[in-house]
Amino acid sequence: MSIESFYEYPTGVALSRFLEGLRLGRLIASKCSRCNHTVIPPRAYCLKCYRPIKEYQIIGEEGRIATYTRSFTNIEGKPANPPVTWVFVKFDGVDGGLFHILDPSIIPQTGMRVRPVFREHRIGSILDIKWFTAV
Amino acid sequence: MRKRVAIVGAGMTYFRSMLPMTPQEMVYEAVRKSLDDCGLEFKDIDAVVSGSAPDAFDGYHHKGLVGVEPSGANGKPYSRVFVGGGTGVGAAVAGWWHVASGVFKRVLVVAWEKMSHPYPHAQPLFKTIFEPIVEQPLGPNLIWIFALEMRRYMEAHKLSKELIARVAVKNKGNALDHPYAQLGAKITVEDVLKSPVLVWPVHRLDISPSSDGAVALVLASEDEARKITDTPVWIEGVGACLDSQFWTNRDLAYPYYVYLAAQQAYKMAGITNPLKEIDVFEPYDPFTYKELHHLDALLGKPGLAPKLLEEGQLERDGDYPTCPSGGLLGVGNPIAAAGLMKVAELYWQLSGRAGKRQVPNAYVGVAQAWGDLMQVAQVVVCRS
Repeated sequence: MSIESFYEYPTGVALSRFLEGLRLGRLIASKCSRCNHTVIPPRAYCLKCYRPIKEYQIIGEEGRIATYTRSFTNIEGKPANPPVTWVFVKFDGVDGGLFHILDPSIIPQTGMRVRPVFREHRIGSILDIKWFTAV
Repeated sequence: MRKRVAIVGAGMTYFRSMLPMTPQEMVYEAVRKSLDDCGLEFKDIDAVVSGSAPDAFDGYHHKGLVGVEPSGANGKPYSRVFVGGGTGVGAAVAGWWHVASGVFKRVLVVAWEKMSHPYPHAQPLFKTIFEPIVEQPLGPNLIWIFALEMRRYMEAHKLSKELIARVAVKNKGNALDHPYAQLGAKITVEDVLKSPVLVWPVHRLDISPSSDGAVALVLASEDEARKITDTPVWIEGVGACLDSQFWTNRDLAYPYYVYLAAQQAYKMAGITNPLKEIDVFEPYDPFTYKELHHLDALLGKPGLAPKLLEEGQLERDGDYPTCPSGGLLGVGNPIAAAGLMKVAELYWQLSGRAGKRQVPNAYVGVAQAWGDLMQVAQVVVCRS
């Protein structure tokens, strides 16, 4: 049996704000107007008190590497040349974080301050961030 | 000792062909509304039971997990129930187990579906539900087997297409009064018969739409329910029954497995004569004939439902109001959510909250869903 199916996903209420932010070169988090809990990527509901989110906020783009890894294979299991460094970046005062690629010229360290490098041509995608680089 | 279980709150999203929301956002909206309905908070819930259709519809695995965060289940027992099209009512049955067992006092049941993720249409993915050696190579689609069953049912009771089409007229008409409905409409028998034949004798308007949507219910034990609301609706009986995957073993004229599931629920609820004792019927109606087919089994009398339809008894103001919600044909068919919508309808009807859809003097109701390869029956009987 062979079935070809494609999938289309709506980005929804919260992530469409996030992606529009990326298009404009900004990082957008959701902020609860009741308990102030702030999360990136944004949610449509508060993860602490479960009220609907009414506020979306631009956050400071500088974060720190919470953890990282270096991949020597690509998604097909073939050698990645050059190897890719993946980082998990947390932002001050914001819950959650972003997973992305690290500038290959940087040697990563936990706690290192990093910032996103936005592409010149942006379309509202997570790939509008080229990678994170050292501050 | 079994605990008594009540529905104390319900909430739902719009049912639409494409909701511009993620599954998480839909789940949150339905859950938030169900909790607001009964004045509870996420922290008040002990466990969550969820229901959603096959992962293939979303294109990623374990999609049940997307329901954890928006239902507030982080750090709590959470399970996903799956019994095909029967999932919505099956989730309510599983929620009942949680509370009736005495293990949990307040349980959230939530079901959702995004039929709009696959494109151009979800239909090809239904092919994967068929047996792979003897059925899939023939290239069956879902309508194909229901057309066989419909034809068999029509022959067994000498039913006309004109009569069966009245189910679509009734349910789409009822759905005009449902605030969340997708396909409420004033149509005629002629409209149904003139709509394109998809797989004879099934016309376009004999079929429910594909939909996005979510529904949530709050269940509580008796002592909790009395504290939460003055108008609890009690789940007095549940039934679940599965037949073989090989539908070729059955006489398609009568869904005996639905009869067996209904009998389980009636026995638990102390119902001996459903025709006399039940005020509201919500049988599963993904196709026009299925409402009659299932109602036959819920009444335990093959061929009776079409007669009642002909006499106008299945209308909202008839003696046997059937699908007063508007059913899947009118409200829409986001698979698992559609089944749970039927249980929510019982809650709204029996607690006097059904607004323009309200059936007068409604105290006892039955909801049923059906699924997989014409083999699953899930039944809930409620009483106010």
